[in-house]
Amino acid sequence: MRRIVGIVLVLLIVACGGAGTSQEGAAPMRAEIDLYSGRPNPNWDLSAEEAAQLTTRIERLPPISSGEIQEGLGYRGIIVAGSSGELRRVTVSNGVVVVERTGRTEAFADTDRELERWLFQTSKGRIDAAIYELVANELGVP
Amino acid sequence: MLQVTADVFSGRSNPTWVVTNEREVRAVLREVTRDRALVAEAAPPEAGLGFRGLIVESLSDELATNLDLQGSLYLPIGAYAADGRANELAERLVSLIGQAEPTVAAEPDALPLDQSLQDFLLDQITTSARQSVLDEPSLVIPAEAEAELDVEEESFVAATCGIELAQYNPGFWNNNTTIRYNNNCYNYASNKRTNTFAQPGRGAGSMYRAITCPEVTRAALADGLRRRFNCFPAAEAPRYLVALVVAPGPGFVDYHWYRKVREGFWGHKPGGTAARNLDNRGRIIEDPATCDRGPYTQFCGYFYTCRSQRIR
Repeated sequence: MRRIVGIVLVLLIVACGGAGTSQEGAAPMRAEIDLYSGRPNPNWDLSAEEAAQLTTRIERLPPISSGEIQEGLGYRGIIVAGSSGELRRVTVSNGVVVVERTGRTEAFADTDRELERWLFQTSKGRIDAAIYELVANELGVP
Repeated sequence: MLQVTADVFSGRSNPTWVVTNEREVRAVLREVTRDRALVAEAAPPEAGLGFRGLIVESLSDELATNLDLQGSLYLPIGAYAADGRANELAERLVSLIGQAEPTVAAEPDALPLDQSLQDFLLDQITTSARQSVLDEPSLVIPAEAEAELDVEEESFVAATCGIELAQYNPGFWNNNTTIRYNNNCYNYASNKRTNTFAQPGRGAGSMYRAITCPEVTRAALADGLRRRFNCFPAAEAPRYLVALVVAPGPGFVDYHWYRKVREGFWGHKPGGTAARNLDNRGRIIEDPATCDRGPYTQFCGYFYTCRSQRIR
Protein backbone atom coordinates (compact mmCIF):
# COMPACT_ATOMS: atom_id res chain seq x y z
CA MET A 1 0.00 0.00 0.00
CA ARG A 2 2.95 2.24 0.41
CA ARG A 3 5.73 3.16 -1.91
CA ILE A 4 9.23 4.11 -0.87
CA VAL A 5 10.26 7.34 -2.48
CA GLY A 6 13.98 8.07 -2.81
CA ILE A 7 15.06 11.62 -2.15
CA VAL A 8 16.79 11.82 -5.47
CA LEU A 9 13.79 10.91 -7.51
CA VAL A 10 13.65 11.36 -11.21
CA LEU A 11 14.95 14.75 -12.21
CA LEU A 12 12.16 16.45 -13.99
CA ILE A 13 13.36 17.70 -17.29
CA VAL A 14 11.07 20.60 -17.93
CA ALA A 15 12.02 23.28 -20.37
CA CYS A 16 12.35 26.69 -18.77
CA GLY A 17 9.78 28.83 -20.48
CA GLY A 18 10.57 32.04 -18.65
CA ALA A 19 7.53 31.65 -16.42
CA GLY A 20 9.56 31.65 -13.23
CA THR A 21 8.48 33.78 -10.33
CA SER A 22 10.26 34.86 -7.24
CA GLN A 23 6.99 34.59 -5.29
CA GLU A 24 5.97 31.05 -6.10
CA GLY A 25 3.54 31.05 -3.14
CA ALA A 26 1.48 33.68 -4.90
CA ALA A 27 1.04 31.55 -8.01
CA PRO A 28 -2.39 29.95 -8.53
CA MET A 29 -2.54 26.55 -6.89
CA ARG A 30 -5.17 23.84 -7.03
CA ALA A 31 -5.42 21.24 -4.30
CA GLU A 32 -7.09 17.85 -4.59
CA ILE A 33 -7.91 15.04 -2.22
CA ASP A 34 -6.17 12.01 -3.70
CA LEU A 35 -9.07 9.67 -3.17
CA TYR A 36 -10.62 8.22 -6.28
CA SER A 37 -9.47 5.87 -9.00
CA GLY A 38 -11.95 6.38 -11.82
CA ARG A 39 -13.55 9.76 -11.15
CA PRO A 40 -11.57 12.96 -10.98
CA ASN A 41 -10.57 13.76 -7.40
CA PRO A 42 -12.44 16.42 -5.37
CA ASN A 43 -10.51 19.66 -5.76
CA TRP A 44 -10.47 23.29 -4.70
CA ASP A 45 -8.37 26.37 -5.39
CA LEU A 46 -6.09 27.70 -2.67
CA SER A 47 -6.34 31.41 -2.05
CA ALA A 48 -3.18 33.47 -2.61
CA GLU A 49 -2.76 33.67 1.15
CA GLU A 50 -3.12 29.89 1.58
CA ALA A 51 -0.70 29.24 -1.27
CA ALA A 52 1.87 31.54 0.30
CA GLN A 53 1.35 29.88 3.66
CA LEU A 54 1.83 26.44 2.10
CA THR A 55 5.19 27.54 0.68
CA THR A 56 6.26 28.92 4.05
CA ARG A 57 5.20 25.75 5.85
CA ILE A 58 7.11 23.58 3.40
CA GLU A 59 10.26 25.66 3.91
CA ARG A 60 10.13 24.84 7.63
CA LEU A 61 9.92 21.05 7.13
CA PRO A 62 12.99 18.87 7.77
CA PRO A 63 14.31 17.18 4.61
CA ILE A 64 14.42 13.39 4.55
CA SER A 65 16.21 10.92 2.34
CA SER A 66 13.29 8.55 1.91
CA GLY A 67 9.71 8.03 2.99
CA GLU A 68 6.60 6.08 2.15
CA ILE A 69 3.65 7.70 0.47
CA GLN A 70 0.28 5.97 0.60
CA GLU A 71 -0.70 3.97 -2.45
CA GLY A 72 -3.61 1.71 -3.37
CA LEU A 73 -7.36 2.24 -3.25
CA GLY A 74 -8.99 4.74 -0.89
CA TYR A 75 -7.70 7.96 0.69
CA ARG A 76 -4.03 8.49 -0.14
CA GLY A 77 -3.27 12.12 0.68
CA ILE A 78 -3.47 15.60 -0.78
CA ILE A 79 -1.89 16.86 -3.99
CA VAL A 80 -1.30 20.52 -4.81
CA ALA A 81 -0.42 21.52 -8.35
CA GLY A 82 1.05 24.88 -9.25
CA SER A 83 -0.06 26.32 -12.55
CA SER A 84 2.96 28.59 -12.91
CA GLY A 85 6.29 29.20 -11.33
CA GLU A 86 8.98 26.79 -10.26
CA LEU A 87 6.77 24.68 -7.98
CA ARG A 88 5.10 21.96 -10.07
CA ARG A 89 3.47 19.60 -7.62
CA VAL A 90 3.35 18.91 -3.89
CA THR A 91 2.20 15.51 -2.61
CA VAL A 92 1.37 15.31 1.08
CA SER A 93 0.79 11.73 2.18
CA ASN A 94 1.35 9.53 5.19
CA GLY A 95 3.78 11.88 6.96
CA VAL A 96 5.82 12.58 3.82
CA VAL A 97 5.85 15.66 1.61
CA VAL A 98 7.24 15.26 -1.91
CA VAL A 99 7.92 18.58 -3.62
CA GLU A 100 8.46 18.55 -7.37
CA ARG A 101 10.07 21.71 -8.69
CA THR A 102 11.35 22.42 -12.16
CA GLY A 103 14.42 20.24 -12.46
CA ARG A 104 14.43 18.68 -8.99
CA THR A 105 12.38 16.69 -6.51
CA GLU A 106 12.78 16.79 -2.74
CA ALA A 107 11.14 15.03 0.19
CA PHE A 108 10.37 16.32 3.67
CA ALA A 109 8.97 14.88 6.90
CA ASP A 110 5.44 15.93 7.82
CA THR A 111 5.62 15.12 11.51
CA ASP A 112 2.26 14.05 12.94
CA ARG A 113 0.80 14.83 9.51
CA GLU A 114 0.43 18.45 10.58
CA LEU A 115 0.75 19.90 7.08
CA GLU A 116 -1.69 17.32 5.68
CA ARG A 117 -4.32 18.27 8.30
CA TRP A 118 -3.84 22.00 7.76
CA LEU A 119 -4.06 21.62 4.01
CA PHE A 120 -7.12 19.41 4.27
CA GLN A 121 -8.94 21.93 6.45
CA THR A 122 -8.63 24.56 3.74
CA SER A 123 -11.11 22.41 1.77
CA LYS A 124 -13.91 22.94 4.28
CA GLY A 125 -16.98 24.34 2.56
CA ARG A 126 -15.26 23.98 -0.82
CA ILE A 127 -15.78 20.24 -1.38
CA ASP A 128 -18.71 17.90 -0.87
CA ALA A 129 -19.60 17.76 2.84
CA ALA A 130 -19.79 13.93 2.88
CA ILE A 131 -16.28 13.67 1.44
CA TYR A 132 -15.00 16.22 3.95
CA GLU A 133 -16.44 14.21 6.81
CA LEU A 134 -15.01 10.95 5.45
CA VAL A 135 -11.46 12.29 5.19
CA ALA A 136 -11.77 14.28 8.43
CA ASN A 137 -12.48 11.00 10.24
CA GLU A 138 -9.45 9.40 8.60
CA LEU A 139 -7.16 12.28 9.58
CA GLY A 140 -8.67 12.78 13.04
CA VAL A 141 -9.72 16.32 12.20
CA PRO A 142 -12.65 17.51 14.34
CA MET B 1 29.65 -0.45 -35.64
CA LEU B 2 26.96 -2.81 -34.57
CA GLN B 3 25.32 -5.51 -36.66
CA VAL B 4 21.73 -6.31 -35.76
CA THR B 5 19.73 -9.24 -37.11
CA ALA B 6 16.02 -9.63 -36.52
CA ASP B 7 15.28 -13.28 -35.73
CA VAL B 8 11.84 -13.20 -37.30
CA PHE B 9 11.55 -15.40 -40.36
CA SER B 10 11.53 -19.14 -40.71
CA GLY B 11 12.08 -19.70 -44.43
CA ARG B 12 13.64 -16.57 -45.92
CA SER B 13 16.75 -14.74 -44.72
CA ASN B 14 16.39 -12.63 -41.62
CA PRO B 15 16.85 -8.86 -42.08
CA THR B 16 20.26 -7.61 -40.98
CA TRP B 17 21.40 -4.01 -40.66
CA VAL B 18 24.57 -2.28 -39.56
CA VAL B 19 24.29 0.69 -37.23
CA THR B 20 27.12 3.12 -37.81
CA ASN B 21 26.09 5.95 -35.48
CA GLU B 22 28.78 5.45 -32.85
CA ARG B 23 27.03 7.43 -30.13
CA GLU B 24 23.82 5.46 -30.55
CA VAL B 25 25.72 2.18 -30.67
CA ARG B 26 27.48 2.89 -27.38
CA ALA B 27 24.26 4.05 -25.70
CA VAL B 28 22.37 0.91 -26.72
CA LEU B 29 25.23 -1.40 -25.82
CA ARG B 30 25.61 0.22 -22.42
CA GLU B 31 21.93 -0.51 -21.77
CA VAL B 32 22.34 -4.10 -22.87
CA THR B 33 25.50 -4.75 -20.89
CA ARG B 34 24.18 -2.94 -17.80
CA ASP B 35 21.46 -5.51 -17.33
CA ARG B 36 22.66 -8.89 -18.49
CA ALA B 37 19.35 -10.44 -17.47
CA LEU B 38 17.87 -8.92 -20.63
CA VAL B 39 20.11 -10.94 -22.93
CA ALA B 40 20.79 -14.59 -23.66
CA GLU B 41 23.38 -16.44 -25.71
CA ALA B 42 20.83 -17.80 -28.16
CA ALA B 43 17.12 -17.90 -28.92
CA PRO B 44 15.02 -19.45 -26.14
CA PRO B 45 14.58 -23.18 -26.92
CA GLU B 46 10.81 -22.87 -26.59
CA ALA B 47 10.67 -19.98 -29.10
CA GLY B 48 8.36 -20.77 -31.98
CA LEU B 49 7.42 -18.76 -35.04
CA GLY B 50 7.31 -14.98 -35.20
CA PHE B 51 9.65 -12.25 -33.99
CA ARG B 52 11.71 -14.03 -31.34
CA GLY B 53 14.54 -11.58 -30.73
CA LEU B 54 17.50 -9.63 -32.03
CA ILE B 55 21.03 -10.92 -32.57
CA VAL B 56 23.42 -8.10 -31.68
CA GLU B 57 27.09 -8.27 -32.71
CA SER B 58 29.87 -5.75 -32.36
CA LEU B 59 31.86 -5.22 -35.56
CA SER B 60 34.70 -3.56 -33.70
CA ASP B 61 37.04 -5.28 -31.25
CA GLU B 62 37.61 -1.97 -29.43
CA LEU B 63 33.88 -1.61 -28.74
CA ALA B 64 33.57 -5.24 -27.71
CA THR B 65 36.42 -4.90 -25.23
CA ASN B 66 35.29 -1.60 -23.71
CA LEU B 67 31.79 -2.87 -23.10
CA ASP B 68 32.71 -6.45 -22.31
CA LEU B 69 30.74 -7.68 -25.28
CA GLN B 70 32.30 -10.87 -26.54
CA GLY B 71 30.86 -12.56 -29.60
CA SER B 72 27.17 -11.93 -30.11
CA LEU B 73 24.25 -11.34 -27.80
CA TYR B 74 20.69 -12.49 -28.21
CA LEU B 75 18.00 -10.09 -27.02
CA PRO B 76 14.78 -12.08 -26.59
CA ILE B 77 11.68 -9.96 -27.16
CA GLY B 78 7.92 -10.17 -27.00
CA ALA B 79 6.71 -13.26 -25.20
CA TYR B 80 10.32 -14.27 -24.48
CA ALA B 81 11.54 -10.88 -23.19
CA ALA B 82 12.98 -10.69 -19.66
CA ASP B 83 10.78 -7.62 -19.10
CA GLY B 84 9.42 -4.53 -20.85
CA ARG B 85 12.89 -2.94 -21.13
CA ALA B 86 13.96 -5.61 -23.62
CA ASN B 87 11.13 -4.57 -25.94
CA GLU B 88 12.06 -0.90 -25.49
CA LEU B 89 15.65 -1.68 -26.52
CA ALA B 90 14.45 -3.73 -29.47
CA GLU B 91 12.26 -0.82 -30.61
CA ARG B 92 15.27 1.48 -30.37
CA LEU B 93 17.43 -0.83 -32.48
CA VAL B 94 14.69 -1.36 -35.07
CA SER B 95 14.11 2.40 -35.26
CA LEU B 96 17.71 2.79 -36.43
CA ILE B 97 17.00 0.88 -39.65
CA GLY B 98 16.33 4.13 -41.50
CA GLN B 99 19.90 5.37 -40.92
CA ALA B 100 21.56 1.93 -41.04
CA GLU B 101 23.57 0.27 -43.80
CA PRO B 102 23.03 -3.22 -45.19
CA THR B 103 25.51 -5.87 -44.19
CA VAL B 104 28.13 -6.66 -46.83
CA ALA B 105 27.10 -10.30 -46.60
CA ALA B 106 23.43 -9.60 -47.34
CA GLU B 107 21.57 -12.57 -48.83
CA PRO B 108 19.91 -12.09 -52.25
CA ASP B 109 16.43 -12.58 -50.76
CA ALA B 110 17.02 -10.06 -47.94
CA LEU B 111 14.32 -7.43 -47.61
CA PRO B 112 15.34 -3.82 -48.33
CA LEU B 113 16.11 -1.74 -45.23
CA ASP B 114 13.23 0.66 -45.67
CA GLN B 115 10.34 2.17 -43.76
CA SER B 116 8.00 -0.75 -44.44
CA LEU B 117 10.47 -3.22 -42.90
CA GLN B 118 10.88 -0.94 -39.90
CA ASP B 119 7.09 -0.61 -39.48
CA PHE B 120 6.63 -4.36 -39.85
CA LEU B 121 9.21 -5.15 -37.17
CA LEU B 122 7.91 -2.49 -34.75
CA ASP B 123 4.41 -3.90 -35.17
CA GLN B 124 5.76 -7.40 -34.53
CA ILE B 125 7.40 -6.25 -31.28
CA THR B 126 4.12 -4.79 -30.08
CA THR B 127 2.01 -7.80 -30.97
CA SER B 128 4.55 -10.39 -29.84
CA ALA B 129 4.60 -8.79 -26.37
CA ARG B 130 1.03 -10.01 -26.13
CA GLN B 131 -0.05 -13.55 -25.81
CA SER B 132 -3.28 -14.83 -27.30
CA VAL B 133 -4.99 -17.34 -25.05
CA LEU B 134 -8.38 -18.94 -24.71
CA ASP B 135 -10.60 -17.62 -21.94
CA GLU B 136 -12.49 -20.68 -20.80
CA PRO B 137 -15.76 -20.81 -18.87
CA SER B 138 -14.09 -22.86 -16.13
CA LEU B 139 -12.54 -19.62 -14.90
CA VAL B 140 -15.92 -18.19 -13.92
CA ILE B 141 -16.59 -15.91 -10.99
CA PRO B 142 -16.04 -17.50 -7.57
CA ALA B 143 -19.28 -18.13 -5.67
CA GLU B 144 -18.58 -15.53 -2.98
CA ALA B 145 -18.00 -12.85 -5.63
CA GLU B 146 -21.02 -13.92 -7.63
CA ALA B 147 -23.18 -13.31 -4.58
CA GLU B 148 -21.94 -9.68 -4.57
CA LEU B 149 -22.92 -9.07 -8.17
CA ASP B 150 -25.12 -6.04 -8.46
CA VAL B 151 -25.72 -6.27 -12.17
CA GLU B 152 -28.52 -7.73 -14.18
CA GLU B 153 -26.27 -10.11 -16.06
CA GLU B 154 -27.20 -10.82 -19.62
CA SER B 155 -26.94 -14.54 -20.04
CA PHE B 156 -24.45 -15.75 -22.61
CA VAL B 157 -23.97 -19.30 -23.59
CA ALA B 158 -20.72 -20.32 -21.96
CA ALA B 159 -18.20 -19.93 -24.77
CA THR B 160 -14.46 -20.16 -25.10
CA CYS B 161 -13.24 -16.79 -26.30
CA GLY B 162 -9.87 -15.78 -27.70
CA ILE B 163 -8.29 -12.96 -25.68
CA GLU B 164 -4.89 -11.30 -25.40
CA LEU B 165 -2.71 -10.90 -22.33
CA ALA B 166 -0.10 -8.13 -22.48
CA GLN B 167 3.15 -8.18 -20.58
CA TYR B 168 3.03 -6.43 -17.18
CA ASN B 169 4.78 -3.15 -17.93
CA PRO B 170 4.11 -0.62 -15.15
CA GLY B 171 7.00 1.59 -16.28
CA PHE B 172 4.97 2.63 -19.32
CA TRP B 173 2.45 4.27 -16.97
CA ASN B 174 4.70 5.28 -14.07
CA ASN B 175 7.99 6.63 -15.37
CA ASN B 176 6.60 9.87 -16.78
CA THR B 177 4.72 11.98 -14.21
CA THR B 178 2.45 13.55 -16.84
CA ILE B 179 1.38 10.12 -18.12
CA ARG B 180 0.97 8.79 -14.60
CA TYR B 181 -1.12 11.72 -13.43
CA ASN B 182 -3.40 12.00 -16.49
CA ASN B 183 -4.38 8.35 -16.97
CA ASN B 184 -6.62 6.39 -14.64
CA CYS B 185 -7.82 2.85 -14.04
CA TYR B 186 -10.02 2.87 -17.17
CA ASN B 187 -7.02 3.88 -19.32
CA TYR B 188 -4.90 1.15 -17.74
CA ALA B 189 -7.54 -1.57 -18.07
CA SER B 190 -8.15 -0.61 -21.71
CA ASN B 191 -4.37 -0.35 -22.22
CA LYS B 192 -4.99 2.90 -24.06
CA ARG B 193 -3.17 6.01 -22.95
CA THR B 194 -5.29 9.08 -23.72
CA ASN B 195 -3.95 11.52 -21.08
CA THR B 196 -7.59 12.54 -20.50
CA PHE B 197 -8.37 10.61 -17.29
CA ALA B 198 -10.80 8.60 -19.43
CA GLN B 199 -14.36 8.00 -18.31
CA PRO B 200 -16.58 5.06 -19.31
CA GLY B 201 -19.10 6.15 -21.93
CA ARG B 202 -17.47 9.48 -22.73
CA GLY B 203 -15.90 8.11 -25.92
CA ALA B 204 -19.33 7.00 -27.13
CA GLY B 205 -21.01 10.20 -25.98
CA SER B 206 -22.98 8.28 -23.38
CA MET B 207 -21.26 8.74 -20.05
CA TYR B 208 -22.54 7.12 -16.87
CA ARG B 209 -25.19 9.08 -15.01
CA ALA B 210 -24.62 7.43 -11.65
CA ILE B 211 -21.82 5.41 -10.17
CA THR B 212 -23.47 2.04 -9.81
CA CYS B 213 -22.57 -1.32 -11.33
CA PRO B 214 -25.41 -1.25 -13.90
CA GLU B 215 -24.77 2.34 -14.97
CA VAL B 216 -20.97 2.18 -15.31
CA THR B 217 -21.42 -1.16 -17.08
CA ARG B 218 -23.90 0.42 -19.51
CA ALA B 219 -21.45 3.24 -20.25
CA ALA B 220 -18.53 0.84 -20.79
CA LEU B 221 -20.60 -1.33 -23.13
CA ALA B 222 -21.50 1.82 -25.07
CA ASP B 223 -17.75 2.41 -25.55
CA GLY B 224 -17.57 -1.02 -27.16
CA LEU B 225 -16.67 -3.38 -24.32
CA ARG B 226 -18.47 -6.72 -24.05
CA ARG B 227 -19.34 -8.90 -21.11
CA ARG B 228 -17.08 -11.89 -20.60
CA PHE B 229 -17.81 -14.87 -22.87
CA ASN B 230 -19.54 -12.66 -25.41
CA CYS B 231 -16.60 -13.23 -27.74
CA PHE B 232 -14.95 -10.66 -29.99
CA PRO B 233 -13.55 -11.81 -33.36
CA ALA B 234 -9.76 -11.98 -33.77
CA ALA B 235 -9.87 -8.77 -35.81
CA GLU B 236 -10.74 -6.96 -32.58
CA ALA B 237 -7.44 -7.99 -30.90
CA PRO B 238 -6.11 -6.92 -28.49
CA ARG B 239 -9.07 -8.16 -26.46
CA TYR B 240 -8.10 -7.76 -22.83
CA LEU B 241 -9.90 -9.36 -19.90
CA VAL B 242 -10.85 -6.64 -17.42
CA ALA B 243 -12.95 -6.37 -14.28
CA LEU B 244 -15.14 -3.58 -12.92
CA VAL B 245 -15.76 -2.83 -9.24
CA VAL B 246 -17.65 -0.05 -7.51
CA ALA B 247 -17.32 1.76 -4.18
CA PRO B 248 -21.00 2.26 -3.30
CA GLY B 249 -20.59 4.74 -0.46
CA PRO B 250 -21.97 6.29 1.62
CA GLY B 251 -19.54 9.13 1.14
CA PHE B 252 -17.00 7.31 -0.95
CA VAL B 253 -18.57 6.63 -4.35
CA ASP B 254 -16.33 5.65 -7.26
CA TYR B 255 -15.54 2.86 -9.74
CA HIS B 256 -12.32 0.98 -10.48
CA TRP B 257 -10.98 -1.37 -13.18
CA TYR B 258 -8.39 -4.17 -13.28
CA ARG B 259 -6.72 -5.92 -16.26
CA LYS B 260 -5.32 -9.44 -16.45
CA VAL B 261 -1.69 -9.57 -17.67
CA ARG B 262 0.47 -12.23 -19.26
CA GLU B 263 2.25 -13.13 -16.04
CA GLY B 264 -1.05 -14.51 -14.72
CA PHE B 265 -1.84 -11.85 -12.15
CA TRP B 266 -3.89 -8.67 -12.54
CA GLY B 267 -2.65 -5.10 -12.80
CA HIS B 268 -4.45 -1.87 -11.96
CA LYS B 269 -3.84 1.83 -11.68
CA PRO B 270 -5.55 3.68 -8.81
CA GLY B 271 -6.38 7.08 -10.30
CA GLY B 272 -3.36 9.25 -11.04
CA THR B 273 -1.03 7.06 -8.98
CA ALA B 274 1.34 4.33 -10.10
CA ALA B 275 0.20 1.18 -11.91
CA ARG B 276 0.72 -1.85 -9.68
CA ASN B 277 -0.16 -5.51 -9.20
CA LEU B 278 -0.84 -5.45 -5.46
CA ASP B 279 -4.11 -5.23 -3.57
CA ASN B 280 -4.77 -3.13 -0.46
CA ARG B 281 -3.09 -5.75 1.72
CA GLY B 282 0.02 -5.73 -0.43
CA ARG B 283 -0.72 -9.12 -2.00
CA ILE B 284 -0.29 -9.89 -5.69
CA ILE B 285 -3.74 -9.82 -7.28
CA GLU B 286 -4.69 -13.33 -8.32
CA ASP B 287 -8.33 -12.41 -8.89
CA PRO B 288 -9.96 -8.98 -8.56
CA ALA B 289 -13.18 -10.65 -7.41
CA THR B 290 -11.56 -11.82 -4.20
CA CYS B 291 -8.64 -9.42 -3.55
CA ASP B 292 -8.68 -6.61 -0.95
CA ARG B 293 -10.26 -3.67 -2.76
CA GLY B 294 -10.68 -1.27 0.17
CA PRO B 295 -13.91 0.67 -0.24
CA TYR B 296 -14.65 -0.83 -3.70
CA THR B 297 -16.78 -3.59 -2.23
CA GLN B 298 -19.13 -4.29 -5.14
CA PHE B 299 -17.85 -6.61 -7.84
CA CYS B 300 -19.66 -5.79 -11.10
CA GLY B 301 -18.21 -8.46 -13.38
CA TYR B 302 -15.63 -9.28 -16.02
CA PHE B 303 -15.52 -7.75 -19.50
CA TYR B 304 -13.46 -7.75 -22.69
CA THR B 305 -11.99 -4.61 -24.24
CA CYS B 306 -11.36 -4.44 -27.98
CA ARG B 307 -9.40 -2.67 -30.68
CA SER B 308 -12.36 -0.51 -31.76
CA GLN B 309 -13.16 0.64 -28.21
CA ARG B 310 -13.99 4.32 -28.10
CA ILE B 311 -12.24 5.90 -25.16
CA ARG B 312 -11.86 9.51 -24.17
